[in-house]
Amino acid sequence: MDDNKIIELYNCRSEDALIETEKKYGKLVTFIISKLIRNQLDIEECANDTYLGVWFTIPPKTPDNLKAYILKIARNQALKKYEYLHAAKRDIDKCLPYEELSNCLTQESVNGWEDNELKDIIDDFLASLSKSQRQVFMLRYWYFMPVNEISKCCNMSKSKAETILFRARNKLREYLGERGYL
Amino acid sequence: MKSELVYIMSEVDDKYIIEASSCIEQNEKRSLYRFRYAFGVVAAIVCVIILSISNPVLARKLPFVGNIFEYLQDKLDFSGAYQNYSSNADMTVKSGGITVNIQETYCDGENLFVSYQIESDKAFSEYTSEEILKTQLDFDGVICAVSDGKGLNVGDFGVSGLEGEFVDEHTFIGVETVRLEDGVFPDTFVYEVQLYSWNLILNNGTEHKISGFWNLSIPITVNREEVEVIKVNASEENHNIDQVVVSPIMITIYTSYPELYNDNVNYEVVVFSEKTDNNITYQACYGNTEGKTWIPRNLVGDSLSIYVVDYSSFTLKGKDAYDKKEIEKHAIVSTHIDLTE
Repeated sequence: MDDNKIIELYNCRSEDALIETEKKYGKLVTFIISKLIRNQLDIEECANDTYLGVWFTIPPKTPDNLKAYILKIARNQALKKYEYLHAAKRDIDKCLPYEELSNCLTQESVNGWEDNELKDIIDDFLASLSKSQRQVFMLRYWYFMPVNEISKCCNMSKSKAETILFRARNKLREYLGERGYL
Repeated sequence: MKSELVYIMSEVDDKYIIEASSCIEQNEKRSLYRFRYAFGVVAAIVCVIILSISNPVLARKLPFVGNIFEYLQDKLDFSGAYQNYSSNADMTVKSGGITVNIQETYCDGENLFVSYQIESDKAFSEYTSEEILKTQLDFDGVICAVSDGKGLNVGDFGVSGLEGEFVDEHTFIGVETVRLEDGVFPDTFVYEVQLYSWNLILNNGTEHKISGFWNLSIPITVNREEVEVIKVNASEENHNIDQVVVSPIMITIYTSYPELYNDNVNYEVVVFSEKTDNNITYQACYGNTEGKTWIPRNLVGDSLSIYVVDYSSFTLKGKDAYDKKEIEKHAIVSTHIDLTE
């Protein structure tokens, strides 16, 4: 079903909206959640929370891109669950690929990032990468995929994917440094 | 701080999220095709598994007894005489019905090889009806080398997880190969492992995870026996082949170059041995100005020829990209190393 029609169903408060969303985007939702959460019951709970999140926010919102909107909610639900499950161990930094980005930002620089400036800078940085570099970067740091899976996904060797990530991280560090965030 | 970065990334422009998701979806389609193609093979294997379950004597052979390095050393991608240089570790932990034993280790200073025996209370085939990849067992967790109280970042190398084989329905034996992300291993350190799952790799491109928690800690002493550091110092146009480290298992080539390749992957080190005219580079990691290239020792006999190329300077595609004559013609800097000297 077309995304506009699904949004129409949400606006009419028809529960078919949830069925159609699950049918169209369920696989991708499960995919992104399962990169952070291992337990099947937790994955299902996160997926249900995602659909509930969509249900409660459309309306009033009308997303420009329903797929990206749903994936963002799924990613945030998975992150929340991950933090809850790992709160006692406090190892979120250690387990996520973000450990690799740890030299790219200082604590001071992220204070007040809500003003969206940092978000815009990261968008600009992504725009400066070539398409294949950007896909590898996003698969690693947005979709949390392991490097070996990225290499299969993008039809490249593991070493090439590692090299692209290494260079992209350096470039991000330079990019943020030039703009006073390092 | 790092977790805040996670949330900043959450808000990137929709178009980049969609662009990356297209990779995932295309890969799923390819996996589906492979799955269909392999259906006949899977069906045959399921039949064998069913037969094995109906006859447990067939399914459960005698437990693996012996030395894992000795058993696997000729079958691995990086084959070699591990057993001659290894040290005993023998540490065992059990969780989630899986017993993990680290049997031996060998660190040549550049690389660390660790032999594992993974034993499951229930047959591995009972976890899934899908065909399992027979030569690899992956895991999720954190591995690091600890020296003087500091954790050194470690990256896996070669296949992801363990390379080895299922010796029976309940037992996998394999070797994990790791290297430091920066520099070489200190003379002594502790190999620390915290694993959260063992992952059976399925034919449909996904993994079946067996969860638990396995925490192992093994003291390691580097063994530099028969490890040779060859200073090359070949240089042209600021492109250098600095040194080559030859160990019984692996050859590591250190190169450096000007900061010309930040935005592209044109820089490459191509290596030929007298055994073959094919490029034998196995894995490489190229930073802004320094790179490392790895070659299994068993692919090289008495000599090797190393060429540094910038692929933007000439046009060669597919297998021609590694044509020896073309590479010789276009190399920026090259060297020939005789290992018998």
